[in-house]
Parts: sequence; C-alpha cells; structure tokens
Amino acid sequence: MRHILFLAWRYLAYHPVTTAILVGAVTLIAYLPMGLNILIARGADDLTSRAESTPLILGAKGSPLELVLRTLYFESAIPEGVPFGETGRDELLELARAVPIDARFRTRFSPIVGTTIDYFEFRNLRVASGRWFAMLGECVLGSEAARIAEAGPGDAILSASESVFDLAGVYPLRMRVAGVLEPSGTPDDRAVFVDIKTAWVIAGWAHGHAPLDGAASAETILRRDDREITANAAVAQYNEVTPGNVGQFHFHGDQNTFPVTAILVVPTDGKAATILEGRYVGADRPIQMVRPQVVIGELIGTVFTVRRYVVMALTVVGGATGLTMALVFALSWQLRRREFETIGKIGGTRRRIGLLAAAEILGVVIAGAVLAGLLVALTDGIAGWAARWLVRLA
Amino acid sequence: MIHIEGVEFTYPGHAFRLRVPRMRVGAGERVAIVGPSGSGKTTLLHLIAGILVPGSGDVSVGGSSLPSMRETARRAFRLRAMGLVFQEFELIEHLNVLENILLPCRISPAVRLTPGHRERARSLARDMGIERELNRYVRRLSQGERQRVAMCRALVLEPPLLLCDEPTGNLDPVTKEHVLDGLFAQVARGHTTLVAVTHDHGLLSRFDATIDFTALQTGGAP
Repeated sequence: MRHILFLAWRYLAYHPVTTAILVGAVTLIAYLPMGLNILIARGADDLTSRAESTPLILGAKGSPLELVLRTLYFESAIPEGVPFGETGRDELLELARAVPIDARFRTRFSPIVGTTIDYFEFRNLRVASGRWFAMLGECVLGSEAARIAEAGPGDAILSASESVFDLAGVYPLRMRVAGVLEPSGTPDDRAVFVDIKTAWVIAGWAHGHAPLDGAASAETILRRDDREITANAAVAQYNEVTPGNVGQFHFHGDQNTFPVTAILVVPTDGKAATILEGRYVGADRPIQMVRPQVVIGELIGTVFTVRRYVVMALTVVGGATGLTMALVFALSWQLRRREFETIGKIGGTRRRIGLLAAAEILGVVIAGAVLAGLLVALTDGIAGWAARWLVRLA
Repeated sequence: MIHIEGVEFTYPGHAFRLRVPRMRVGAGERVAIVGPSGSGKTTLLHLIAGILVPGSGDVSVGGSSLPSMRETARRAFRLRAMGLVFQEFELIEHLNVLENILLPCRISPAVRLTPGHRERARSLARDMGIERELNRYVRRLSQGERQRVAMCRALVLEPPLLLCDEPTGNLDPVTKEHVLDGLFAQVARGHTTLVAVTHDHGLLSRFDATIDFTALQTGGAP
C-alpha cells in the first residue's frame, strides 16, 4: 500500500496548483458548515449565559433587542435613554435593586460603561490590581481593556472624541485608572468602567471652570483688571478632573432627568420579577421592562433559522463542488489513460491501478479534512468572539 | 524461450487479422522482426507479452502458456519474466528518472521493492550513461535519455526476456548507436533473450537472427 500512496503523492505533488485547489475545495466543503455551527453554538451559549445572569432590564421604549445588547454587551445601536430618576422610584425599589448603565461612549478601543459600585457586586467582578473608582474622573479597566490600552493603575486614558469638528462640542475626558479587574470571560473584560457621574461629565452635562488666577495660566490671560479676567481662545484638547479642580465641577439641570442607557433591575425573587414586569407593562411613561433571556432567546431562534438555511445552501454548494471535483478527477483519469495502460502493460495489477486512482482522491480528501479539522480547532479557539460577532450581526 | 503455435488474432470490429502458424526463439537469442508498417509486428509483441490474448493457438514463454493463464497471473508473469520497451517510451511524467526505473517494483504484489532493486537501478543508469539524471523529471530529458530510461525500467527486474518495439525509432543516428551499445551490453551481461521490432535494416547486423514478418505469417519463418 505504501507504494500506491507514494505514487499518488508524487502525482499530487507534481501538480501543486491543481492539488491545492482541490484540497481547498474539500476544506471549504467540510469546514464551512462545521465552523458555522461552532461559531453559532458558542455564540448562542455566551449570549444565553449572559442573558440568564441578568434578570430584568428597564429602558426606553424601542427595540428590546438593541436595549438588551447594548446593556449586556455594550455593542449594537445606542437605544434612547431612560431618565436616571427611574432608579429611585418606590415601585421599583420596594421589589428590586436598580443599577444604572450608561454605555454610550467609548475610548479609542473599548466601550465606557458608566455605572455604580453595585454593578461590580452584581456581576461578581473583583479588582485584580489597584482599587475601585472613588472620585469623579476615575475609571476601572476590564482585563482585556487594560491589555489593549496597555494601561494600569496610575495611568490615564482618554474617552474618544464625540465631535471632532465641532469646536463647541464636548471634549474628551482624560480619566485616571484606579484599578484593573480580574478576567471574567464576559464583555465586562473589554469595558472601561466609570462612575455614572463621570459618564455625565463625558456627555457634557457637568463641567468645571479652568482657574485663571494661578501662575500656570499666565500665558492664556489676555487682559486682567479688578473685576474681570479675559483669557485667550486656546482650545483645550481634553477635559480632566483633578484633585485641584474637582471642586469646580458641577452639573447643570436635574440629575434625575439625565438619561442613562438602561437600568439593570435585580428583583428580590421570582415573584418580585413577575410583579415588576406587570407594573411596567402599562406604564404611563415611554419605558419598557424586558427579560434579556426572552429577547436573546428570540434572537438565537432567528439566528438558528438563518443557520439552517445557510447550512442548506452550503450543502447544495458542497454537493456541486463535489460533483465538479469528481468531474475533474474523471477528466484527469481520461487524460492519464495511457499512463494507466502503460502500468498495466508492464505488469501492474488492475487492483493497484484502481487503488492508485483512489489514493489520489483519498489524499486530496484527507488533506482537505485535516485542514478543515485544523480550522475547526482554530474556530473553537476563537469562538469566544462569536458572541460579539453575533451581537454585531444583530 | 518463445514458442508460438497456430496463433490467430483479430481486434474486435476490425478487419485486421494476424496469423502466425509457428515461431520459435531460443533462450539468449537476439532476434529482430522486420516488416512493413501496419502489418501487425507490435500486435505480435503484445501477444508474446500476454498483453493481448490470441483467439486461437498458443503462445508460451519459458514453457508457460500465456493464453491459459488468468489475467492477474499473466500480468504477474509478465512483470517477472519480461521487460518491455515501448516505441513512445511511455515514461511517467510526474516521476523522476530513478522513480520511473523502479516503477515495476511498485505496481504489483508480485514484486517487492528492495535495496537490491535500487542498487540495480543505479547500476543500470550508470551503464546507460544517465546516472546524473536520476533525480530529474523525464520531461527535461532528451529523446535519447528517455529511451535509455525506458530500457533501464525494462531491465531493472533482470527479466529473462526483453521485448522492444522500435527501440531506436525516435533517435538520431549518433544517439541510436549509444543507446544500442548500452542495450546490447546489458542483454549480453544478463544472457537475456531479446526480441525487437524494427524498421531499421542498419541494425540487423547486431542481432543473431532476423524474422521477416510477412514470411512469418505464411509459415516461412522459424
């Protein structure tokens, strides 16, 4: 048998381009359905487990899916905000804990999540180094966010500029890193967490006033008299809350009206959850309460339906590719008929000639299957991204 | 070595008819078969090799009757007892020279490839003057080199009988002489029986006997 394999190998190696195309076709036929199944299955698992760990979400009326995805994954479209004041309503607090989430902003690489310390307790997140945020302008990095930003406690990171060409717009906020979280294997690893009020500073609802009476600001002063100091129009590249200016920061307007992306609702028990859902079904305000598990279940159902059609299409394409490959081999054997006849004339057995032809097909199929297996293993390794991929797809 | 008795052969659906009443070739003899094109000389070689089976009559090689053997046995017998050199060489394009020479050792369970075969292949290549080409693909070789590779392949299993179809038909005169020198040296060394079909009457002096194919068909040859 080794001689047959040797001769088959020599033929395939002599035609590297043809062989590579055939192996590639087998690889794709085998890999695409398996890879898709793995990605969707792992993605669905991740989505489901995140959704199952989040009992209820309160948000503005609109797409429940966008609300859930933004609240759980900090991805997808930004839904309408819900007033922060909803977190303090008696009808909610008597049956549940309320944790605000403001997930509208980003650093260059990671989403910024404005929340309260309760969020970390609810998600069972722990600080690996440093401490929790304690002051306006401080942040805590998820483990992945810290790795990407190459930042740790004591460093500073900037929020992304929201309006680069709008000089009157909100400037990025330079945030000091107070701590880095332990890895949790969830979207929290990729987030930058700040206090909800820091998120409002990023939104521009709070601001400070640069002190002009110090020596450091002498270069910016155009005119000074007893009543008034006039500074030049130099544009600050970013805002920063420091121990020196934190006292200057203040909010304009009623904080209860400031919108947050959503409110995580943690009911005391199942009965409380049901009662709360009932209360918010007919609410007289443009708000909705959703069960992430139900919303994600519907999404996964849709994805699975799409997967079925995609796999069906892939099966048809795979069948057509298989037939094309069979045709390629048949034509190849036709062209090589004289070669096989020569082997027969020399004394080669029919069985060996048949095995030789089969071994060439087998070689291509095995090489394709091995490559597909490697790709499947690779896909399995990166399937952690699948949930994000599904979220973006949604 | 070769006994042919009352052989008749026709290709299905063709009017061509080959009739060989009697033919004898002794062991170690070197015999040339000459005759006009299309008269059936190659068909006769194929009958002797057992590639074709006669409709009637008997072809025996070394005392073994080929028509009475089953197809598989006949192939195994041919592999062990005969070397074939084809007019168009029939080398395998995707194998290098050494692999082409060793091809008979890989195509049947009747023969096992051994280090001895490899040494024999190298020795033949050296004798034929192609030892430097062993690792080259055959498409890079000249016609003369290809012919020598085909001869090495036919001789690698040291067959007692060598059948050559127009062994120099595609060669220029100088190359032809080199190739024939190599071939006859090997045949002499191995006491191999040689039957060659040729159009080239200039070669006949190298053979022990010449069979006129036309006369053979009328019973006028040995």
